Amino acid sequence: MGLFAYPAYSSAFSLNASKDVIVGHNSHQYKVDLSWGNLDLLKTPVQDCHEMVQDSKGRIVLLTNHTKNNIIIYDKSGKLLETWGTKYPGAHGLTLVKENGRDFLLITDYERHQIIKTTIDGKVVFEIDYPADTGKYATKEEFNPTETTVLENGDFYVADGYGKQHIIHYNHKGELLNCFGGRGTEDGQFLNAHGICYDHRDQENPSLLITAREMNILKKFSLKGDFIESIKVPGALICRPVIHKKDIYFAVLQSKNASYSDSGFVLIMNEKNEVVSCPGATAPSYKNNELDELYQTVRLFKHPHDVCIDDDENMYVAQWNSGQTYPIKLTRV
Amino acid sequence: MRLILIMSFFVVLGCTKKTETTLLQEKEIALAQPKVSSTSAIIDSSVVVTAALKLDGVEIFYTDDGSDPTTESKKYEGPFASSSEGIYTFKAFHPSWKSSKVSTLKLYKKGIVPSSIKWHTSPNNAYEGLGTSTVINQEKAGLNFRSKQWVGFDSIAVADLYFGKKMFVETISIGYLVDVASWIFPPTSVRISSDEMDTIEMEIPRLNQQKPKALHDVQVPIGKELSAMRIEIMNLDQIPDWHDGKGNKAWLFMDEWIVK
Repeated sequence: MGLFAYPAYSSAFSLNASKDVIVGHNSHQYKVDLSWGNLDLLKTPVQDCHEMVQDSKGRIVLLTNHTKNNIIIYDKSGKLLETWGTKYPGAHGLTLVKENGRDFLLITDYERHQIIKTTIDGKVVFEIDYPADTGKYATKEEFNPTETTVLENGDFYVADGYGKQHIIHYNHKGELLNCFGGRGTEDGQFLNAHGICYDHRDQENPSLLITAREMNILKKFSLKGDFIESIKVPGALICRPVIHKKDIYFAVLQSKNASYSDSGFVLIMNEKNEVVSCPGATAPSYKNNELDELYQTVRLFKHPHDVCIDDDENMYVAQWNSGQTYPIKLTRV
Repeated sequence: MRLILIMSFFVVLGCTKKTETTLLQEKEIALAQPKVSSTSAIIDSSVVVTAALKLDGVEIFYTDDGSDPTTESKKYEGPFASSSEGIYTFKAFHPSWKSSKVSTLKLYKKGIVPSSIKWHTSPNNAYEGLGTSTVINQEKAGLNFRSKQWVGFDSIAVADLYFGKKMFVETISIGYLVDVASWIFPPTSVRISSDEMDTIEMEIPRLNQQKPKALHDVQVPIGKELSAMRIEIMNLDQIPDWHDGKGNKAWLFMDEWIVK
């Protein structure tokens, strides 16, 4: 009786309700586990958690720029399996390469100004220096690669997202084939070409998807480097496209017009490249085929930098500049 | 039989409880600050103020006296017109998520427009704004330092303002941007001088930690009849030690100088 008489308990804004966080919209909604993968910062530290992939054994591989252990490998439950790597101070991009049933990794390191191919347990296969042969680079310092993507034939592309914004195409041996893009605001150019992804969802018309993060645009190119189209995502600083089945997933570093920096979220596009869900941000809505500006609505994510979707459709979110936190696991509901 | 039932009930309860503790709860996470804007920050006749946080169940409350809003404050029902100078604050509330931090919007009455301005120092050539009169064009800049309404200096800023005739100047306010992530810091001091009065200098407190991106201003009381004044704005020599850019030059970004 006393409880009912007390006005605070009838207020809509009392904090009594305990409700699982569910983020995202429409087909892609998730519960959140902040305790996943948390380790002892003294034994297995992280600095920025830059990128994650799932390997052929189903393990979750995390790349951090902490040189005590640049690679941290978990199982899906968040249990630590192994660590390796001490020589990647600018460890930024991580791509899984499958060759004849074996897993390899392509690591981009913007401090070493290199791309390094390793076996899944960390043995170096090759290192690629700045692409002097393109004629676009005078010194290695101008080349600050952020991401790679690999075709079925072993050809790979490098995005120089913190450098001169070129996209450089190599064959499987690391020999230069082509170079396109560059800094600028024209259709075929980039401001912060941060992420790149081989899109073969339409097997007849494979293409490259490249983020122009500062411009809030996803740009589509042919494999030869011809610009095809721009897909605008107003307000969203998209890091790299990650294709899983028919959808594209992105970590969004920040909301463009937020007054605070740690305003990131996650963004998901369907097979038509329409935004269908934004965990941590406003629900996507289109007016006359234009997407309304997206922005963070809850202070869950800080600066998401990459996402990895596992074979159970759950997602792992690696974050930059988040106060040395481990990845966040999102469980699809 | 009853005992078994009770025991199995506890087992179920135990399991449920375990899942609940690992999954994040809404009450542990705060809403983002409402996005607040106005058609202009300088009021000629009136401006329209808008606040938004597009999430189901959110209600926004606000005050017009600069105090922190509560659910007892005025409820934001949609864009509204304002014709009076002041500080509006907005806060978002939700039945289960934690309430947001406060968003602030400052509105200024239009001031005297100086007849001319003469610069003695130059902005950095990447951030010249709309030219020499950017700071007296009666338009406030937003939070984006790349906007042409901002003038960016990497040295001190010195200019003379001319009013064309003697006028009673009550105050001058100098608008500036704080965006420490982009190395943009508050000025350290503002000095106003004129042949017609003693020099006035105001110190601006230095930042000793990160601060959200925001528009600020320093208001200097004058209370004299003047036909011209010199304005000198001192920049921070070096970015302080607590910041990633320590030791480098800090930026000073200014927009409107409002004379009353």
